[in-house]
Amino acid sequence: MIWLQKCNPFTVLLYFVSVTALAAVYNNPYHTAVTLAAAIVFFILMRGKGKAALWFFTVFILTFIVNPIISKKGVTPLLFIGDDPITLEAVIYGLNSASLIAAVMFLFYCFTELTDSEKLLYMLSPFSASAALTVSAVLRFVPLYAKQAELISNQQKAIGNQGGKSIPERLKFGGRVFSALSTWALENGIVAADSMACRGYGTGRRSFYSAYGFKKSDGVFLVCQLIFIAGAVIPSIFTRCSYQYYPSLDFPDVNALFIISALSYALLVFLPLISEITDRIKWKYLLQKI
Amino acid sequence: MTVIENKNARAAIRIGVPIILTATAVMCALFATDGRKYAVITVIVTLLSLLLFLSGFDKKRIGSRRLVLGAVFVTLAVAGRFIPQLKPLTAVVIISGMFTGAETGFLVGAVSVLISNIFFGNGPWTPLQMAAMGLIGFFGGVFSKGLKKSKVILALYGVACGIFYSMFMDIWTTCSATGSLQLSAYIDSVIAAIPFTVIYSVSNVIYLLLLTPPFKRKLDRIAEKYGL
Amino acid sequence: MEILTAKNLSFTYAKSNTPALDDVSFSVYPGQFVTLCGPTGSGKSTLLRLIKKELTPKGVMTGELIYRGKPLTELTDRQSAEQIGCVVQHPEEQIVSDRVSGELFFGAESLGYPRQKAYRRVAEAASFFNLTDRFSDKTAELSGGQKQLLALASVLVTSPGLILLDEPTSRLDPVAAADFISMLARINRQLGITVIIAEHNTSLLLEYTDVLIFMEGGKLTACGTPEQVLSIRPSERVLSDMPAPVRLFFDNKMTGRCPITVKEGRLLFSDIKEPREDKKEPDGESALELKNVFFRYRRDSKDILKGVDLSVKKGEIRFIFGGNGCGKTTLLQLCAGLLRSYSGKTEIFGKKIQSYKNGELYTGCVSMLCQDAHAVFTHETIGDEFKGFNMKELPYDITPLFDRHPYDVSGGELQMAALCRVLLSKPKLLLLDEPTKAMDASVKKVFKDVLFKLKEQGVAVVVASHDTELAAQCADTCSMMFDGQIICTSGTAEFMRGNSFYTTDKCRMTEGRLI
Repeated sequence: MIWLQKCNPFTVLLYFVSVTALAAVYNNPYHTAVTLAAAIVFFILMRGKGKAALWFFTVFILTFIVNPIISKKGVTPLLFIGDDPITLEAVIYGLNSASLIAAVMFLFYCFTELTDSEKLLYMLSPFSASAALTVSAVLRFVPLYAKQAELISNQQKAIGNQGGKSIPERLKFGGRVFSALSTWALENGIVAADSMACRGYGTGRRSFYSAYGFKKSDGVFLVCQLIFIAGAVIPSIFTRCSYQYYPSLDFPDVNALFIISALSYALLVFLPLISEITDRIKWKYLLQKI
Repeated sequence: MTVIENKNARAAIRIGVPIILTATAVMCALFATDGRKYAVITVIVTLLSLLLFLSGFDKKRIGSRRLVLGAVFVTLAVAGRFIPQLKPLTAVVIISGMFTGAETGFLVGAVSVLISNIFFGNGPWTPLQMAAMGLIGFFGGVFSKGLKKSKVILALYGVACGIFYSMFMDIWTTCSATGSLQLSAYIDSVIAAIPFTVIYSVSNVIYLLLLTPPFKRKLDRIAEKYGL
Repeated sequence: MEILTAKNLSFTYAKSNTPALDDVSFSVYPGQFVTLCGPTGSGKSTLLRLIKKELTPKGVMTGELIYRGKPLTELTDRQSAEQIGCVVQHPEEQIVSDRVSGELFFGAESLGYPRQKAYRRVAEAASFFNLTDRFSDKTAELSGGQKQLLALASVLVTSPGLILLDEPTSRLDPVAAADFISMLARINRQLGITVIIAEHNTSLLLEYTDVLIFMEGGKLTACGTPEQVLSIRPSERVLSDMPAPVRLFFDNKMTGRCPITVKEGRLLFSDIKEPREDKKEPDGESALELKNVFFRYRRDSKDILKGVDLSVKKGEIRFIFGGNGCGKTTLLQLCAGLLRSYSGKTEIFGKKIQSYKNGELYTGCVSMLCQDAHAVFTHETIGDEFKGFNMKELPYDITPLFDRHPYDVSGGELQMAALCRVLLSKPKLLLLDEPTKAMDASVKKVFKDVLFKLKEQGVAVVVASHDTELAAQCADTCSMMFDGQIICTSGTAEFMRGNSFYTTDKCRMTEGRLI
């Protein structure tokens, strides 16, 4: 998903938020199916880790199974466990929620992969420069602390302070390393703070510069998103678009307004994919022309 | 840049606005949307109040040393979250609030969750966790006098935080799993989560009692050496 | 007009009775390169901290500091941040952003520069320091020397007129240190920026220095051009930290102009002769034996040790040289049993390292001291670390430090305390990783004595270091490591004569007649 990676992080955030929010609001198997399909395609395109996919699938199965067992709503019993009925409605509802949760997990996995620390800082800084600065410092500290913790633990082992391998002894050793690490961290934090003060931190209003401008393509992406969001939302004011599970299953009327809303949502969901494909074609063409 | 000069008024706004917003979210969810779109609204409103809360801090300058100390606490808290089940994250957040002030406490809480979720998976639940943990740190700062004075209060606060965090996140669990927030379902999930809540609260207390004295000594030393 | 003038400057720390600075007066003109020289605790850092008001410690100051005609105290926070840059000795800790770009922008962001100005300044600094291709890299991926250069670059973004540096090269290896100093000299010469640098090891600095200031015990003992200052013999303490040509000049009671570079010394010392006395190579029992050892961290990572052969005898002091990242530290950790090789044989006192069980290795057998002495201390005072041990057999008395916190003592003192702690288990094989990094000449002398005492007791000592001078004075044998292998091993004198880079200045100047 090279195309999404190059987009302005805010437009990307809007995409993920609006897609998941609308899918959750409509709670309609159609919307869920569209979202899940797109999420899986993105996941594959981004070369997501198999381990993550397995975990999402586990969550899917669990949610799918648990809901019909717990839920006593619905009117069409399929089978009975003891006196409790398992209803068709609850099964369908479970399938839908499980798919929705899986879709959200896949989407947020992609979002996390797309949002590196720099983009996170870019999004945070307009709201809170101090939070952004804290995040930046933490990202700097994490590898530094990991290195120091290893150094301390090795040094302590080398002077025979490790003790045995039993759990209490290990915890004690861990505590010892953690304590030494925090002393070191606090002490060296002062060096970092002084270095910040030396370079003018706190003398006035902080500005923030970023490599993420707002390009023309970002504008197009944003406008398209807004049109499709409007297209999905406005019809739903006049006609019911959400699905009814209880007491009995009821798909909303398939009228012109519903079709507009449903199509708009599908276009919104697949917008990055469409852009990715056109972008790839454009590049192929660009390179051929030379 | 600062419009409101009165310190108390500012504090009232800082605490009041998010509480009002969160309350509105709950109201919206329960009445306006027949309990269906609760999850979405909660997340969005929490996110908004969180951002408001954070941007409120920028009006008041956090000094470089306080800010870096905050970052140090966040890093230590994140490092601690890799220990399974027993999470010193909450204890570290509370300690940071106690010793570096309510604002830094909130910042440390919120950012710790954000960063550790980079490793544990961000999702729609992130803003909720951030707000909850931020508030834990914030009130750690507000009650710092009492918390520093008595171990009993410290332990009680640890338990309170455990229960608060657990119950706060159960809102999310309930509405994401069942799509609505009915009181009965919520109570069910709170009851189902009791073992976790107990483990969590107890570990909070243990970590707090274990970590607070050494951190106090370390911070006192730093304060004396560098004159914070 | 002077850029900075100190008039009768004295300073006493809040919790101290003796002044850290005592009646110091000097002037600095724009564009000058000023070197503050003196042993640890001589007050050089304090002086720098008084000039940079963000760093000024608590205490009582008397006298005057005048910056561009006005008292320094009249400078606003903003002016101070913009006009006076500061680089300290910790390359790791003074970097606050996770990306190179963020670090470079930091000053501009803090001072709220308009976008265009900020970009222009950052672009200039990045190009000057050749950081453009590392611009979006993570700072954690840079080497120590690159980090220190980044710190310097990020200070230059606000185009200061004066840069203060507090022992900026003390944590760097010699190659990185030389890079850093030559960059600093370029800034001074090409951009005309005034530089005040405090450093105890001045061998790299003297040739660029316009004003050399000697400090001892808070007092300014000499101030002038290097030629003026070195026209009379400095005190023993100061002299011991001077570069090799200066020391050789005064030690041989020569007259005339004192040489400050190897180039000048080479001419002057062309007829110094001293009998060669090559030490006998030790031939005791084997203490450490490595045969064709291979190591990597994970199955899919690349080899760090690629067939190391190493043999150290009892009572031998062995120095291992090599550039950064050649595997020295990994080798020591492997010998200390902290890492396991995947192929090859590692024997300690004739016994396979794997057959030492349950901490057997660390009681009376092997001990290691890593690069950061702080890692030894996990308690709140140094004394706590020694509780329950018999201190009488230690080669060096550290009881005066017992009440101090490990972070309140100087780098050299801490290193000695750490060495003593490491010796408590009475090791027969001692592994030291860059032990002299934070030491000034006087502590090094003590350290050397300790090494000799250990040698007498038959302890084998392996030191990974960059300090050729120390090796020349106390090593029996030296090895050179490169790309995961030991390239050569020989007696110290032969080793120094055979090398042109990993050798002492003395050896270079006298073409190997002295080492």
